[in-house]
This record gives sequence, C-alpha cells and structure tokens, in this order.
Amino acid sequence: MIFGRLPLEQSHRLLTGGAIDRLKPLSFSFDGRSYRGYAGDTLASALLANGVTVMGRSFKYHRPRGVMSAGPEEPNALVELRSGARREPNTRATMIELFHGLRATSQNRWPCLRFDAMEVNDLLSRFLVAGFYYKTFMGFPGWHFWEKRIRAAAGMGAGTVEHDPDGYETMNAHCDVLVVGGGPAGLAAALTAGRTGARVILVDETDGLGGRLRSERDTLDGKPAIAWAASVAAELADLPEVRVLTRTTAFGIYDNNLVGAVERLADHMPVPPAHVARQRLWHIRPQRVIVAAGAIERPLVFGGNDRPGVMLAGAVRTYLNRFAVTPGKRAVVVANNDDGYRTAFDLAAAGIDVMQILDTRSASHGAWRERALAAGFDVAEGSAVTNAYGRMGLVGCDIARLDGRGGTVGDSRFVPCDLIANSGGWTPSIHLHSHAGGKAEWNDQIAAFLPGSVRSDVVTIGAARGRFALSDCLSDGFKAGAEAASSCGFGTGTAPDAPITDEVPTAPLQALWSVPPTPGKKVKRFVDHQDDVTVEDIELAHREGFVSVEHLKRYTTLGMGTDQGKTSNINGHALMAAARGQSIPTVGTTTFRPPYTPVAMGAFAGRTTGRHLAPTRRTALHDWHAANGVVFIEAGPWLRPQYYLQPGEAVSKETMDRAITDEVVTTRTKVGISDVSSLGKIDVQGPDSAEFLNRVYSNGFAALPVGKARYGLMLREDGLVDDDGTTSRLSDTHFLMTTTTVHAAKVLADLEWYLQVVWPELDVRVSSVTEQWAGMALPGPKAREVLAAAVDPGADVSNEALPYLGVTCTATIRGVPVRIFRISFSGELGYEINAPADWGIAVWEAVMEAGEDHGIRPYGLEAMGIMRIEKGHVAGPELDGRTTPDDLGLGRMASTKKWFVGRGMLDKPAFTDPDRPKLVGLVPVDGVSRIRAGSILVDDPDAATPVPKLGHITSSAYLSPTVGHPISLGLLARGRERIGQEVWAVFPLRGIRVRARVTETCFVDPEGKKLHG
Amino acid sequence: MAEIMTLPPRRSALDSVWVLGDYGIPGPSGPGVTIIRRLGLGAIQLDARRDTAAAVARAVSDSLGIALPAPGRAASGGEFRAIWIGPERWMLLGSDSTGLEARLRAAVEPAGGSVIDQSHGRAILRLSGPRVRDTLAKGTGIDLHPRAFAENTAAQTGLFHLSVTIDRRRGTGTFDVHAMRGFAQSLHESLCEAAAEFGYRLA
Repeated sequence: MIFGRLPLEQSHRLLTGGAIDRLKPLSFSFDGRSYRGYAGDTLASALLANGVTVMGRSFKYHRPRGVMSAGPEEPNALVELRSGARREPNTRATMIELFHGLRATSQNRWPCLRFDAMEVNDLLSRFLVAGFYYKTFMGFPGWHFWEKRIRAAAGMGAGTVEHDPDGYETMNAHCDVLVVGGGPAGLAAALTAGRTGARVILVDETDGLGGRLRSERDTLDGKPAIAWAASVAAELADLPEVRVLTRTTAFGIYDNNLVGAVERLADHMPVPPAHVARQRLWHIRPQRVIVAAGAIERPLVFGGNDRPGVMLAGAVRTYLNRFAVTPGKRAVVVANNDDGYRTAFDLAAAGIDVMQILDTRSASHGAWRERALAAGFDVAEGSAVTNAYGRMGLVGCDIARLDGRGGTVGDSRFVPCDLIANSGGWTPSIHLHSHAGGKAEWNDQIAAFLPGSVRSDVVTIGAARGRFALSDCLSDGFKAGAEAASSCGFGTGTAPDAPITDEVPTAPLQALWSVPPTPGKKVKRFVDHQDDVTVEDIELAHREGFVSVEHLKRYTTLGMGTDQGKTSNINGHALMAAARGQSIPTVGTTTFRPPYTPVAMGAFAGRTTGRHLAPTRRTALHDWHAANGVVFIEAGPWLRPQYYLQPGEAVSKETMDRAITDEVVTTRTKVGISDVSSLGKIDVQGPDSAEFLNRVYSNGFAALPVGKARYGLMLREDGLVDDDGTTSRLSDTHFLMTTTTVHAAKVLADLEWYLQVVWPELDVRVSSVTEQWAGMALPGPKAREVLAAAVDPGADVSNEALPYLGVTCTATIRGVPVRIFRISFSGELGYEINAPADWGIAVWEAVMEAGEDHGIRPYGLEAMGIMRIEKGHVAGPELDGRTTPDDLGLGRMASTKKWFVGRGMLDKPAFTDPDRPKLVGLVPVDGVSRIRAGSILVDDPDAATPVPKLGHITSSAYLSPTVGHPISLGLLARGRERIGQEVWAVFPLRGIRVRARVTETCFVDPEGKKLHG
Repeated sequence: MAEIMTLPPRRSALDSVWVLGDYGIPGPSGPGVTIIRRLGLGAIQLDARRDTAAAVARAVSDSLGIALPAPGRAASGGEFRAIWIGPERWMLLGSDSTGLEARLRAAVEPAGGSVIDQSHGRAILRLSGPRVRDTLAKGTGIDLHPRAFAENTAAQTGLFHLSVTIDRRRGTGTFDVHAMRGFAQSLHESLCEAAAEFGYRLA
C-alpha cells in the first residue's frame, strides 16, 4: 500500500488537517533527490514536510539558508526551477505550487548545497563589509577582471540561454471596481461591489481565495473562517459581472489607473497545455481600485537570525494550518507583539513542544498573555533570542533578558530547539498605493508606514492599511466595496453587516529593531537576508557618512534584491534612524516602484515575438506566387516576389542568379509580368482635385487631360524630394495617385494635413485604395500583343487608342472591369493593369495565358531593380531625403510657372551649390568588378585621411544582362561634369576598391523609343 | 449583363488558410468563438464633401432607406449596413447582388458626395460565441462590454497591431471585424491563436 508509507516518508507532515489533498501524492526532486508531497503544497511546504531545512545559500557569505516565510516576500529559499529551455532562476520556493515531476535545484553554491566552497566568505566576513568591493577593487587596474569574478561569486542563479518554448499573451480588461487581494478584506469588498451589478475584477496572487484565513484558525459566525471564504468564492463565481483571477499578481498601478497584472496560467504545471499561454499580462483599466494586499511580517533582528529553522511566526502558522507541516519538533517563540502567543497555541495544537515564549515587550498585560499563562506556556517577558546556533539546521539558541537600553541583563541561557518562530510586527503592503502617487505615513502604533493621502480612485483597506484585526478587515471590505460600487453608479453605498469573529483582543506591539548579542559572543544579525546586510553594515554606512536612506540602500544593497526588501526595509531604515538619533519618519523610506514582485520579460512581450513582432502584409496575388516557385522577400510589412524558381529548382546562389537574369532577358526581349500591388494608390476626388495636385507636385497637373497619366515628383516643405509616382486623371474631378510602396501611408497623411490644415478651402477628399486593387506590370516588346489577347472583345489597346501615358477604365479581362495604364518602370513598352483584388489572380492568370505563346514569365523585385537601374530611374536609395530634384537629374520637373510645396527652398544657395552630388551612372573600368551599394566615391583611396569624399553609390546591379556588365547609380560631386572620367568606389569595411567610370544614368534606350513604340 | 454573368468567383484573402472545422480546446458548450467570413459583400465608401453632408444623408436615406449613423455608430436599414468610419465618411455594406455601388453613385454624386469601391480591399470576419469578447480583448484595448459598446456601436481601432473597424451587431456578442485585405492572414493567425484556449470554429 503506497499511501500507507507516505506519511513516514514525509517525516514532518501531520496526519490530519491542512488544505492539502492526501489522496493526490506528487513526486518531485530537489538537488537530484526525490521526495513526495501532496497536491496543495508549495515547494517550500513539501520540502519542510520531508525535513529539508536548507534550501539555499546566501548571496554574499554563502551561509546555508532555510525558508523564512510562506509568501512572496521570501528572501532565502530561491531556487532554480525546471531545466533546459524552461530553467528559471530565483523562483521563490514559497510561491511554487508543487506539481508532479517538479525539478528544482539550489543555487549560488558550488559544488553542492551541503558543502559550498564559497562559504569561506563567511569566515572572511569581517573583510567583506558594505562597500568592500568598491573600496578594494575599483582603485587598481583590472576592475573588469575582478568584476566578473565577484559577480560569479555573488550568484543569483543562472537563467537559460535557450529559446523559451512557451507562449505568453496580453489581455485587456475594463471594470468598475478592481479588488487586489482575495483575503477577508478583498473578499468582502468584491462581494459587496459584485452584488450591486457593478463590473468587478478580483485578483489574488495565490491559487485560491481566503488570503490569511487559509493560514489561521479563525472562525466567523461560529464556523471556520475558511468556510466563509469558500462561500463567498462560490457566490462571486455565480455573479455574471464578476471575474476572479487567482494566481494573478497586480504588480503595478500606472497612469490613469492602468493596473498591470500577471496571471500565471501554467506555472503550476510541468508544461503548459496545448493552446494555453504560460503567463498572461493583464492591462486592467478600472474606475476604482481597492487595494486589499494585506501585510508582510517583519523578522526580529537577532544573532543567527538567518539560521535554517528561524522562521516568521505567521509563516509557521501557515505551514501548520494550511499545509499540515511541522517545521520543527521543539520550538522557541519570540515576538514583540501578541502573534507570538497565537503561534504558540497553534504549535501546541499540532503537538510541537513550545520550549519558551519570549515576549520582548517590557510589560504586556493583554488577553493573549493571560491565555498563554493560563494554558501553562513558559512565558518570559522582556526577553529575546540573543544568538541562534546550528549551521545546517537549528540546534538551539541563547535567550537573555533585555535591559531596554540596547543591552542585556544577567546571564544568557541556552535553550535547545530546532525552530524559532519570530515576529517583529507586520508591515502593510502599500506598494500599489505608492505606485498611485500616495504618500507613506509613519505610524508608531504598528511601527510601520501606513497609506497616506492619495487620489480618490485608489483606496487601501484592511491589513494593507494597518488594520490587522479580522473584524476590521471585514468591515473595511464591506464598506469599501459598497462605496466603490456606488461611486460607479451601482448600489446604494450601504455596507452589509460583517460576520462575527471570535478574536482575542490584542495588546499593542513594542518596536524592537535589533536584539543585543549574547554577551561576549560575536554574532551576525541579518537585516536583509537576501543581500546579506547586517546591523553592522548599516552602522558602518552611518559612520562613513551616509545619511539618506536612498544612499544607504545603494551602498549596503539593503532592499536591492529580487524581494525588494519586503522583510528588511523597515528594520533597516529604523536602524539607520537610530544610528542618526532621528525619528524614522525623518529618515524616511525608499520609493516603491513597480513591479511589486518580479515579472518575466516574456509576459511583457506577449505574442509580439518572432513573426508576430509586426503583422505581415500580403498582396492579392500572393497565393499565385506561392504556388509558382516564388522566393518571397520582405519589403517593409509586405511579402513581395524576389524571383521565381523553375519547377525542381532549389534556392541557391546559382539558381537565383539564373532566375533573375532570365527574368530580365525575357522582359527585355519578349514580355514579363510582375506584381506591383503594394504601390500606394490614393483616390483623389472633388472639384478642386486638379488644383490640389498642382500644389503638391512640383510639375504641372492642372492641365492633365482626362484619360492620361503623368509622372509626378513630390517635394517636402524643405525642398528635398519626398516621393514620386504616376497619377492619372479618371474624370474631371477624379484622380488616382500612386506612390512608392514605402511612402504610401506617409503621403496620404501629408495630403490629409494639407487639406485639413493648410488649404481647408480646397474641396477634395483623399482615400487609400491600395488594398482594393491588385496591380500588375506588363512590360516588354510583346506586351501589347499579350494585352490585346487578354482583354475581352471590344476593348481597343492599340497604340492609337492607348498611347504612351494613356489610361482606360472601360476594358474587361475575363469579365472583370480593369483599369489599364500605359506606363513603364523598366523602359519597355509597358502597361500596368489594376484589377479588383478578389479577381486579381483570375486576371493575372488570363494575362499569363495570353502571354504563353510569347514566352511570358513573371519577374520579381530583383529583376525589377536591375531594369530600373539600367534605365536610370530613381527609387528609395536615391530618394533618401537629402536629394533635390536637380541632384537627381529631375530639375526640369520643378515647374517655374507655378508655386508648389517645397518651391520656396529651391533657389537657396545650398540647393544651387555646383559642388552638390549629382546622380550619375558608374561602371567598373575592368568590366567585371562588382560595385557595392554604399561604396564611397573618392579620387584617391590612398590619400591621407580623412580622404575627401566625393559621393556614394546608391544602387547597384551586379550584372546587367542587357548591357553585359555590372552597372550602378551614384551621387557624385559635380557628377555631370565628370562623365567620362574615372573615380574609385571604395568599401573600406570589406577592403574593396573598384576603379569606376562615370557615365550617363540611362544605360538602355536613352531616347525612349521602346516606351513609345 | 452577359459579362457580369461570366465574372470569375471572388477569391478572398483567406481562401488558402480557411479550413472549416473546430480547433483548440473545446469549450463546455461547443466552441467559445465562431468565426465566419462575410463573403460576396459590397463595401462602398461614401464621403460627403464640403457642406454636402446633409444632402448626402438625405440622398442615401431616399435611395437606400438607411440613415447615415453618427460618429462611433453603425446602423442597419433594409439589406444594407452603414458604419461611420471618419468625419463625414461612411462605409456602406450590402451583398454584391444589390448593386449597391451603382445605386449609391446615382444617388450621392449629384448631392456632392464621393463614392469609392472598397469591396475588395477589406476582409470582413464575423465573430460570435460566449468567449468572443475575451478573444478580442487579447488584441484590442477598447471596452467591448455591452454597457460600453452596445449594439450598433462601431470603432476604428487597433486589433493585434492592425487597423480595423469593429462593428457590434445585433445579438449577444456578435462582432464584425473589418481589416485591410493584405493583413487578413495576419489577423486570422492572431485571432485563431487567441481563441484556441476557448475553442473556435471556422465556419
């Protein structure tokens, strides 16, 4: 019987009680050793159940450490979870829900947890005080050498360098009331607000609702309080406008009440199920936020307070009551408040020997003390633990009477024990309040900061407001829930009666920031366990002149760990204040910044990784290309054909070169077809359209006849060339503008700007119609014959009916109404056909069919680029925002007869400087060398540096099949005067230099006979 | 008319990826989201020009029997739907068989409006089902709750980094999403990934 054996294996597990499921045993491993726990355990509780006390090594001194807390504040029990690509360092064992097959390893130790070579640091600790590394290493040479070794010695675990195999995602939510924290206050608030019909979201960072009720033995209305929590949870689940998110941490409040939260959908499983993200980042936009985040217990600062077995008293109760785990067999309880007594009762109820209750207060006469005395506990007042012993687990402690002035009275006494439950009071979790801009106000009653004033849409309640009594938490919650809902227009704002508690009244705590050491003993008293900051470090910082807590923090690293000082900040600041002889509010506190607890970067990235980093845009002809050997290339968001392989060909340099050459040759000698759908298309309508275009283009458009297209040049307001394209007049008041692919959206925005702001008097509307039309270019000597065969009967595409720059909108192809423009980018006789996108492939296929006898073939961007360079046409590399029309040889397109955008700048001296680089052609003198785009043009590459730069290569065709050698375009100072001369094109990064001859820009058919043929 | 009879079928941007069926983790009562493509629709953009909004609205009302909606709104009338998509700009939708573009052109151009055919430039998906809002909320920050986004509300907004129109239709949780055609496959991928945990049906 396997179940019969399990309790024996789990030596520290109670036979009954707790919220664990004994029918669901789970096996897991820690540092390679196998253990068993139960469903409902955390890794920490399961390790404790198996008697494992040492879970990690400290940051600096490598001291063995056990678990200190049972929550998100844990500074000690940080482990590496999982392995391989899912390995995650610095996970808190207290927050990891146990799952079957869980694998965890300790970190910051070598070679193993029990024997760690770096523990030598503990022996050297009197040298390793605050600021040691800066003082010692930064002065002498080789800091970079030492820094690496210091960082390796002060380990924080190792992350994986492999690709994260899991998914993350983002979710947006809106609600009236967001409640943070599912403890008694939060449950009461969510229930009251939810019952009004308001939209409510309740988030809790654990796997279930109840908060502290899950850890205590309180009753409500005479029944276990956890039953009340369950009934509230059930009612919330039935309210249609309430959403409950467990395993969700609200980690920050940002502007406009945006709350960031991370939901751990699958962290409690070995791997996320299919279709489920591992974590989900929530952007919650509530009208009201109720922060019921509870409080975090502070440890007492005494000698050896980091020994494995020294735990927070509240955590001890959690392990006893929620997990049915006994963290020890003989306990000493020490506290400066009544929680010590409460813990002693719970320990005794679980059958643990309570050796001693130490109440550090000089005198307390509260009800809890009376109950403890009546129950027969050994209570010592005004006493504390002065040193704890036990390297790998507690063996006992010294206790002594305090003199109230920082010393002890009389001899200390050794008490054997394997557990010390300690409490220094509770610190309200005011993080979110602080994120919202709220102040922190010191309160002597609880010796902690309370939420002060803040904007009205964020309210902090319950223990997070320092109201620790269960009855206060409940009444806060009911009231806040009713008020928040009412302020959003739901309910009457009246709070229901809270259930009756069985609380014992508590006496006030008495602050004790550090316990004096056992007389004559050298002890280490830890303030910040995660960063190994001791009382002595803080005193040293004070002696060295640090007065600000912000400086203290950075010098000693107090509160700088992944726990952000959740258990240490107040103790540390109080000790600093004491050293300075000032009050704590005078010394102040550090600022809370999001996130409350660490958030994986993957959660912020969500699905926006890899190919989802930006959406992909596909043309209407995409599917045809994909089925016909295309190799796509990314062009901005677009996927465009780069070239087409023949059936059976694989991608290689050779097949690519062959394909591109064939595409150029076929187009120049027969006919080609290409997808130009991505060119921007802008519909311009209205009675003032011609006037409008005449202002935005540098060349004239007012007199463009209906049914004609014209190449247009658009300048920026500073006179530099912005964009170019052809624009056609479809009717007296209707134009179709085209833009480059890259500038389509920008040009549309510019046009809207001119119409809305600059010339509101013009009656024109502009709209993008890029997506409506599939565009295909059909150039080549046989283009007209192919087109004539493709169009349906009745359409006349003869040279007379459709001359160069003619436009017709009446033809159909396979019944599809198309727009045909006789324009050409390649310099061949050419047409562009626009077809409604859903019919794009049908029209393309009709043209392919019509061209079959003429040897038509599709061509991609590479061939298109070569042909435009052969023709000397400018494109993106030349329109780089630094060139004037004249630089590009387009000076005649800047009209002298009218005003246009950019006109005012063209006569400025810098624009007319004869030394400006001008567009020229460049060819290798040897006829074979490739000239890389980006090469610098110089007269003498061997001249003394800086070598005078004459210009650069803008575009290059490594081989022009038409002219038979490499060609390129470049901008060259006084370039047009240098035609026929030679320069050097150098590419220093690759050590390339090519002797180049300056030529005209047009390498093919400079008279343009083909276009008009 | 004969030419219209011989028109090839319209090929949607999603033809190559749209495989009917149920995907993801099935919901408790069937798929959490059902997505259909709205095919064979005319989508005609209508712009009023200077000082013609009232006349254009009257002309549309007289001709199609639909009142042009106010900003942020959509309206149905007869077999047509109108969505406000910008200042004095609307998208009118009706099936191809209604001759919507020609009717609009005839009615609106004399009144000073401009008509632009965008029928092929948009991919329109209809999403419905119990988890439709959760699915969309993974990609858009706007509040789609019925209290904030009632029937006949329409928004020009972002969805998975795309510009879309979201049109809240009649019935519980039915939304039409209009995206630019070229981004249709990206939208489809994102929607399917987002809906998979709820189970989705491509219908």
